[in-house]
Amino acid sequence: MEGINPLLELIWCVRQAIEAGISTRAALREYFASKAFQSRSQEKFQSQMQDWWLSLDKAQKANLNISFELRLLLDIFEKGLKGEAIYSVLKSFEDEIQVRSLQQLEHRLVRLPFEALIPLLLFIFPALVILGLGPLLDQIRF
Amino acid sequence: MQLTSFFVSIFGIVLVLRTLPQMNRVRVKNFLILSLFIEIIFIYFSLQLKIIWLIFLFVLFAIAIYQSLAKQRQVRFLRQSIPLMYENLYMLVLSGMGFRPALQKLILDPNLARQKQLQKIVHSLDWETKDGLSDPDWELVRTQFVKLSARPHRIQEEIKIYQSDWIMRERFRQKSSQMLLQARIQAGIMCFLFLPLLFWNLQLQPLNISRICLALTLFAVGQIFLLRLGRNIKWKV
Repeated sequence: MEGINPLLELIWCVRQAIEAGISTRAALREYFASKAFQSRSQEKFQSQMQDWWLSLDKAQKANLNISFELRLLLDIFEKGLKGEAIYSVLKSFEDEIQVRSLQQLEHRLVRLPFEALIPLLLFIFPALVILGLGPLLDQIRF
Repeated sequence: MQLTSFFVSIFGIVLVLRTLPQMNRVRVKNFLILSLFIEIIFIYFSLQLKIIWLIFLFVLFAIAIYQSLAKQRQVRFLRQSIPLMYENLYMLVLSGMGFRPALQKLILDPNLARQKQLQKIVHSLDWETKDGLSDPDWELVRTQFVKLSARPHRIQEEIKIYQSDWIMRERFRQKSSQMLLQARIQAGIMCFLFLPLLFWNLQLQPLNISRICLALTLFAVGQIFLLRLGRNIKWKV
């Protein structure tokens, strides 16, 4: 889903399933089968999640290169897979991620006009100058 | 000459009808009337075939842009109406209806597009198929409805949960579409400045092809960068 943090999609899916009385394992399986997980734009996230899921059965944990937030979330899920109650922790974690994701979006919105100056100054403005001043310079040429 | 123009217009109409089968028939009819009107004017004044072709291509291009914009608007409208649909469903369930009867009532939506989408969902629930739902959001609604019909206990709470999640989704979408809109507006303004300059350069004699090609390349690269800026969000969270 465009514009939505895949981490939030995952939390929503698992939380909804837990609220419906489904176990964490079944909820995660439901998420892996969902379209939100299979979307092409999240290939890195997909591979990270798959690596984690596969490493669960192994005695030694795989050294996953993942963000701090995802690591925390996976720790919560691991507790849930062991049979511990994770609903309240997951809910507060979701609130935190929602706030942080919205903050990131707002921060990006503020920075966007400045970032847009780079292609404007490097490519578009020279193109306008070439077309606007080029013929005039040709006329002035001796 | 007039006969050739007539055949050109007939060919154009057939092309419009063939390429836009999914477009609203009333709109196609309006566009056809408009294009026919333009054709008749040109045939009447016996203008060049080249100009007729240009006009026709312009009409086709306008129809294609209009169609894509209309489709985008429709998809956005349908997405935005999902929380409202859940609200209506919640009210119906609250009034004592079961999930399926509430869904049947929900189909009687005054909005035709939403009604069609809901009908597809109900049909897929009845026949346990996944046909007809190309939009991932409505596909998600379908899976949520499947869960709701499979777990009728606590249905009110679950509908409320889904609704609040959709509201949050919409909030995220609005924020990210703001970014896209900013980038698109800037790109549009740049096009508005660039195109007259380009046409002016194309009319000059002698024509400086290398200068035009260089400017076009720079402009295209700049536009691509600009549009990509609004699109890409690399989540750090």
